[in-house]
Amino acid sequence: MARISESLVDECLRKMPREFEVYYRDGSKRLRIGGDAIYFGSVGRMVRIRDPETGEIRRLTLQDVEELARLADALEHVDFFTVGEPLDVPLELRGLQLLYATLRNSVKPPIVELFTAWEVRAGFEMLSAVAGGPEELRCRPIGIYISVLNSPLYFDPRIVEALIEASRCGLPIWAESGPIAGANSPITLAGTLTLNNAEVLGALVVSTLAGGDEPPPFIYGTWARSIDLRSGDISLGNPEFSLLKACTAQIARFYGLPSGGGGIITDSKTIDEQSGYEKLHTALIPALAGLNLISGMGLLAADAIASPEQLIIDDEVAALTKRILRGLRVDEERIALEEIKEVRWRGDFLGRRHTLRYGREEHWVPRLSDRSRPEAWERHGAPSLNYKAGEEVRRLLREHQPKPLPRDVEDEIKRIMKSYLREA
Amino acid sequence: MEKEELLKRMEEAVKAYDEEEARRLAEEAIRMGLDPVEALEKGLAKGLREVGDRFGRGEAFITELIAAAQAMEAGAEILNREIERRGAAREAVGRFLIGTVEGDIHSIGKNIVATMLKAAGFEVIDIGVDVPTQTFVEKVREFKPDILGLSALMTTTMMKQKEVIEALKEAGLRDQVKVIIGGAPVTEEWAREIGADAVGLDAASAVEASLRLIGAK
Repeated sequence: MARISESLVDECLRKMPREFEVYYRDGSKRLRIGGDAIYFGSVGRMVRIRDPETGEIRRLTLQDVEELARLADALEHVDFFTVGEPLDVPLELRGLQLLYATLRNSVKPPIVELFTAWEVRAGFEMLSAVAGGPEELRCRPIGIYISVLNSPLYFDPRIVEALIEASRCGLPIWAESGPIAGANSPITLAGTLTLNNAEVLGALVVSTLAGGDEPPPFIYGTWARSIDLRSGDISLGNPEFSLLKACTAQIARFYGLPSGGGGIITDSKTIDEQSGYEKLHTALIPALAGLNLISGMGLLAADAIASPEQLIIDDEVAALTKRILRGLRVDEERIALEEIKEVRWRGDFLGRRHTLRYGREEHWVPRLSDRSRPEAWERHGAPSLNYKAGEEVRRLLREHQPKPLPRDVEDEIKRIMKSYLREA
Repeated sequence: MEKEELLKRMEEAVKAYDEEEARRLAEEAIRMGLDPVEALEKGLAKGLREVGDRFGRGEAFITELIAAAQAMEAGAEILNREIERRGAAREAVGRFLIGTVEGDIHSIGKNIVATMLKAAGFEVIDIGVDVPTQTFVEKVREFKPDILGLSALMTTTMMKQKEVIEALKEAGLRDQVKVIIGGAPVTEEWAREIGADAVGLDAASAVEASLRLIGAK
């Protein structure tokens, strides 16, 4: 049993930035993590995928990982995406292979989920190779390390060693605890937040002390969830999940830390009405509360099944959520009193310069949602959202080519993986 | 107190999640010279079966099922001692040995399955978490369970399920026990691949599959 003093936690908190930046590997975009910025994406090592061709749920392979990463690269509102446990790859190499596949198929920053210090070291070398060296990586991080803690209050030696290694390497740290209210955490939401808080602050102290003079930035993370009282199964698509995320964002802000956790998530096993409303509330409520990284895109059955079509739909949900977050401006031009006077009674606004000018600024245009009249919809074969998402998956996989890694970087990564395998 | 009234009260104590009352009534039953097997089956276990049925219909919550199981266990501990003293045998649907495999410290899923098996009438022997492969083999030899349940929550530890099955084969015990596997990453395909007899994809399906395995024996 270890106890950490309040003063030590405070000292570590003082060293942490409120905001920091993470870069796309080609420098095309940077994410400002913290403050009011909200980013959507996904991280997780699930072993199942809903096949976009057949709708069948089957084992996930390396090819799926590559295709999912490529789709994520193409979608505007996905800012991080590292998903899938490729079951056709030897166990020891799966984590690194996932990282490599993500880097190859996407310029977006990978979330590095590796469970041993050895693996972390190899992962860090891979990222350094892409960034142009360890110092370059430290100054302009192109990935984030995620540390997955165990509730209640258990710091698995392997997890802690991996966290220490990642902190020494200087990778930004996203430490998340995922207490299950009623199972490994108190059933009450306040109790679960308290436990989540203790665990994450514990990880903050470990990471800060391991990081030495320049500890890496730290993201306060949460996947706090609950049991379904009827079955004992774990549920994430419930309203309590959204409340827990909203509260966590506020707690992180209280400490002056960026925050991130689960969201845009559903318990549904398929793409249906349940996934629709659960995805929306678990995206919107945490976003409104200021959870900086919201992770769950492209997933079904909480985080157990990856789905390319759902990823397309979630891009739409993320876009809609961001539009709401943007709110509206109120000034003389936008109140448009002059417009109203000029058009007067029984006129129309459609052809006005004012309409042309502010239409794009204020009105979100969906990619998939159908807004047509019933007759037109029928004439087009009455397509469902699901169908259109499938078409979009096929189109993007056909057309989208991610920016490749330089040949020498690819060679270097392969060398790192080989040498890791020899030592493992 | 009449026997019938005592049995009824035992059933009620379980349904009210009252461990102390269950314990007190178990002692009362022994004092009265009641058959402890009957007291267990028609009193305490009947209460748990009813909560189990309500749970199955979605009316009772998992929290209530677990509390009822705890009340039953409290009384059963006393009755079991008496059963043993008399050299009698419990009337269980079957004997189930359950544990989480080596390297894996997750207990909750296993505990839920164990509780539901008890509610379904199984005698359950729970050997905990992070159980070494050889310990599974030894315990199978010792307790001679009808079914062995192997829980694994992580993709990294599910390999151990395969290892246990291999070890049972080597020890010549594989044909004496049915093996059911469970846990978040576990699939039907994995069960087939490693030669398990059944897979519990959730607690309810674990119980169903176990009842089926017992029927098949």
